[in-house]
Amino acid sequence: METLITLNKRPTSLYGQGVQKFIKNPIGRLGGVLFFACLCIGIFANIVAPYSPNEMYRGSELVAPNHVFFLGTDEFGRDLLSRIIFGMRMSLIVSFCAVIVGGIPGILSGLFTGYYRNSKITSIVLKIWDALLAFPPMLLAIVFATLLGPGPLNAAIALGIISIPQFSRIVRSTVLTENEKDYVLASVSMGVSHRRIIFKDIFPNVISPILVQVTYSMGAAVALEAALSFIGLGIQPPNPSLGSMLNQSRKYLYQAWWYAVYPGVAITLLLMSLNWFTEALMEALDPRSELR
Amino acid sequence: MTRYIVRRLIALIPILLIASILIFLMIHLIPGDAATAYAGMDATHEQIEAVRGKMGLNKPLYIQYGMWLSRIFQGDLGNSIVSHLPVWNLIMFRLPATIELTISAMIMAVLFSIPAGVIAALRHRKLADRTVSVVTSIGLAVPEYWSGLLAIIVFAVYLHWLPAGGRVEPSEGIIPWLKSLLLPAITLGYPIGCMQARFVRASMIEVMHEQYILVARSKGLKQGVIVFTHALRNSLIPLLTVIGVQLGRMMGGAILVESVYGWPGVGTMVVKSITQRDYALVQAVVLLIVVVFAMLSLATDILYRVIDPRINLTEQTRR
Repeated sequence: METLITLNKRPTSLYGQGVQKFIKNPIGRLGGVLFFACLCIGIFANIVAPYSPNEMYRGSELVAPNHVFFLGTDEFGRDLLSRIIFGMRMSLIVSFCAVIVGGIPGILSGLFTGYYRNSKITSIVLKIWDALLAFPPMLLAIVFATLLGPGPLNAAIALGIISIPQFSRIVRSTVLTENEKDYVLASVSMGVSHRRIIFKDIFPNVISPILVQVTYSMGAAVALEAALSFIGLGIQPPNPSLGSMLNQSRKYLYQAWWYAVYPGVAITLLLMSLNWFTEALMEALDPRSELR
Repeated sequence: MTRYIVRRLIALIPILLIASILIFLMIHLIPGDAATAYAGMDATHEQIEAVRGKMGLNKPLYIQYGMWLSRIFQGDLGNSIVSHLPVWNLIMFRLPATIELTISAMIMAVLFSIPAGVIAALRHRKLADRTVSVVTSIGLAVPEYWSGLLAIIVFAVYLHWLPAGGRVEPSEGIIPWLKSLLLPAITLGYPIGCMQARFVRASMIEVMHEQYILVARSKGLKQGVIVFTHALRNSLIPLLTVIGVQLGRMMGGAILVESVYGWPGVGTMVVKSITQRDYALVQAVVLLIVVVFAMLSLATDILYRVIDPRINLTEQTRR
């Protein structure tokens, strides 16, 4: 790597440095690999899963893990491994959609409320976000999930709405510091349009906190989706979802430990990979982390 | 100080108003008619209309909101759609169990976080520190409702040491009561303790690099005195803010933990009323939790200033 840099005689960009720092960090590597594995399992669920997630095998209800059903079966004789794989796909889809639903309006609101900080609309928008932040996240998820009704798409919308104020707040606080910098002043004095200043000048400088918030929100969405499905509000059976599988398993704790154990392992692995990824990303993109 | 409290209370008003509008809309935007649900399945058209008139459901939405809000200020949260009992009584009946659970969980969390955080900070980048960070990062990733199920499988199904769920009244014996409380409290407290341990570690590391610790060292004070009387007291101040925020968040976690263990608190009641579509009850509980959450964060901020006079000082010099 070092020879490459000296040959090109080009200093590495901030993001280049970030990537290098991320790869050097063992937690980042582990989180990245684990998340990539989860992603592949989710994308290629059809190929990876040994059986169809909804196929019921009569006579093999609640079978312990064996060489036919690697992780055992559930109360309807469905293969647990296949259901976990498809449940993971569902978690990933819902959390991706949630980040898009929450991220786009959140980022836009952060940019505009940060740039037009004295406008009337800004103070109203900020009040609304403050009101949403006054709810504990789990409770807000329950409110929106009951409002919208069950189902994967509605769960994604509910979880997205929750993350709007978080995105907005993080972007706005960065925009507020960027506003004061000379390059913005230079653009203003050259008569550059506001829209151009916001999107061409300021936006590139708030990408790092957005990246961190994206991975963080994905983790939060995975956890909340599973929690909602666990209390019966998110994804409904017979659709495979890790949370609702755990809910179903509670009736069979005395007969079938595997039913309650393996779906939870999948959620935990997914969450751990996202947490580690976020942590390493935060360190890699924070210019002050060198000092620590 | 008084001025600060008044300013913060005034700032709370618009936030709580917007939150209350959202909670109010929650029950009105849900498909299904509340009057039909209240009157029962086999009610005649006239009966339903009578209920609608009695509940004020035939008036415009903003008037209904005003009526709802004024009733709340009179302490009337409405009646449950399922049992027709006053919601306030139902909540108050269930609340002590939830408070008992959250406080025990918080005690568990603090008992774990302070020693773990201090040891990790003192052994910075050594084995003990790495162990604490692995344990805490697992704790932050494991969802409460799954660790609860695992704990039931291990301690109740296989080892038979502790009950699988439910709550025993303290009047039936202190030991059985504690036994019924132990697993739920640990399940709810563990992730929270992990979060706290990280804060204690970070602030302890920072404080140990302060000048006054160096002074204490050069005076020849013992390590124990430095850690416990000089460093720990200052590094626990950030923990206080974390605890304040967490107490609010724990109510979300309590809903899950209570329903795993069948703990007879507000959380199981909420989950049950969601499945029964008793939205009047859900609405009231959500409103109550939001108000408590807001008050808790205000109380934390005030306490923070009382404990750490440096915050007021910096604000005064800034003016």
